[in-house]
Amino acid sequence: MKTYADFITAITTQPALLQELESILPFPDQSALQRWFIDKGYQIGDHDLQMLYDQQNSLLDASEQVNY
Amino acid sequence: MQLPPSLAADRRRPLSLAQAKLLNFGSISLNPTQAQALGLMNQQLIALCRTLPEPLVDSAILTLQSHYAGSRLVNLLNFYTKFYPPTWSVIYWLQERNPLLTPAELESAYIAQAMAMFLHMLDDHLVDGQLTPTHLLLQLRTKAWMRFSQHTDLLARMVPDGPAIGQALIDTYFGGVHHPPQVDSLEAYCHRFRSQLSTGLVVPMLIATRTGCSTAEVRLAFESFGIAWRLLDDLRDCQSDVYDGEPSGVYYQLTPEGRAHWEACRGKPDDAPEWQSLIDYLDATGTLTESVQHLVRALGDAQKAAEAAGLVGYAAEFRQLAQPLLTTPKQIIHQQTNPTIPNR
Repeated sequence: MKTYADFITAITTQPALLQELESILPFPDQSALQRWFIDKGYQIGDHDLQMLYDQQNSLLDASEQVNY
Repeated sequence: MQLPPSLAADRRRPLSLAQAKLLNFGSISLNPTQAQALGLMNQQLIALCRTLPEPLVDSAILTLQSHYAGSRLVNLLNFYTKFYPPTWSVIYWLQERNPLLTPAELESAYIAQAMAMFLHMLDDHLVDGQLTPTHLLLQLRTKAWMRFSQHTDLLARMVPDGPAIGQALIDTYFGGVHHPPQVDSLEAYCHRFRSQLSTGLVVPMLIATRTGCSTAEVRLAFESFGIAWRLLDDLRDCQSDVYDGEPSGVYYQLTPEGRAHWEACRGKPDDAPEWQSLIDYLDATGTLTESVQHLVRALGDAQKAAEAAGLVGYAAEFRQLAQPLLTTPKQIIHQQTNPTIPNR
């Protein structure tokens, strides 16, 4: 199985993957999030899945106007 | 860079705290080669995470995504786009002036600079408590420093005294962050900040030496830009710095009376009379407008140094950064806001 790192790399070259994620967000619970990633071939550990679930509402937000 | 008379004498319409929060540098357009270099840098955070032990890789990405990207994928994937270009474009302009670096060396230069920029932020946040140290973050920091060292070592080998040049700058950095000298003036504050950005100078100094460019002028350009950037941040964060009791560049511009007003606001709610006293004081003295003048002068110093080094394009970037600030405070702020203090 692929990892979340692989997913992040994949979305830079596969816009369809990101569009599919956009169409399904937000996930109602952590299990639904996990099922979606497993269906796509990605295995994410429980703790990481919790972090990702907590961030799901902002994942696809537009870039902020911030500078470091 | 000449200050327009309107800004130099504009104390009758002082910049407010709320307006200062909206200040920003002008934008810089990148050419295709620069955009390609930025693209390479933007891949480096994920590449860094992939060097970690397997159980840490995904957690590291999610931690960076949460802490540095506001949980937004687009910010994670464009991490270095958020930095003002002169922090890294100096590499491009040095190579453009005298293209001696091989493609592999150039790649190492951008990777090392990306790590230096990331480490600058990570070190700050680990030390000031914004990030809680964990085994993951300690290993990430270790790996980032290793990548920085590996790639700067490669560049240093191409230059006589290269390792010594790099080590001297690293010594300066740690001298500036580990028990730094006491600061009690704006000049001392800027001097301390110069030392704190020294790791970002390792790559530019090595390439300047390699390409026969004036290291003194390149250093002056980079450091002057860094000071302008610091002062801009201090203006934008002024309200929160006052609330936190954090002395910034603005604080060190103040007289003892002004500093007392600043310190009196620490932890106070926005409707406390101490805030109004500080606002009145800042308005009466034109302190924030003066701060803009300081940072515009720093950009002017950066521009002159870049021109003296023969880096005409780099100099042009500083003019572009300064552009929105070369106007009156009223014109600087396009978005009008009410001068309120944020609730805590």
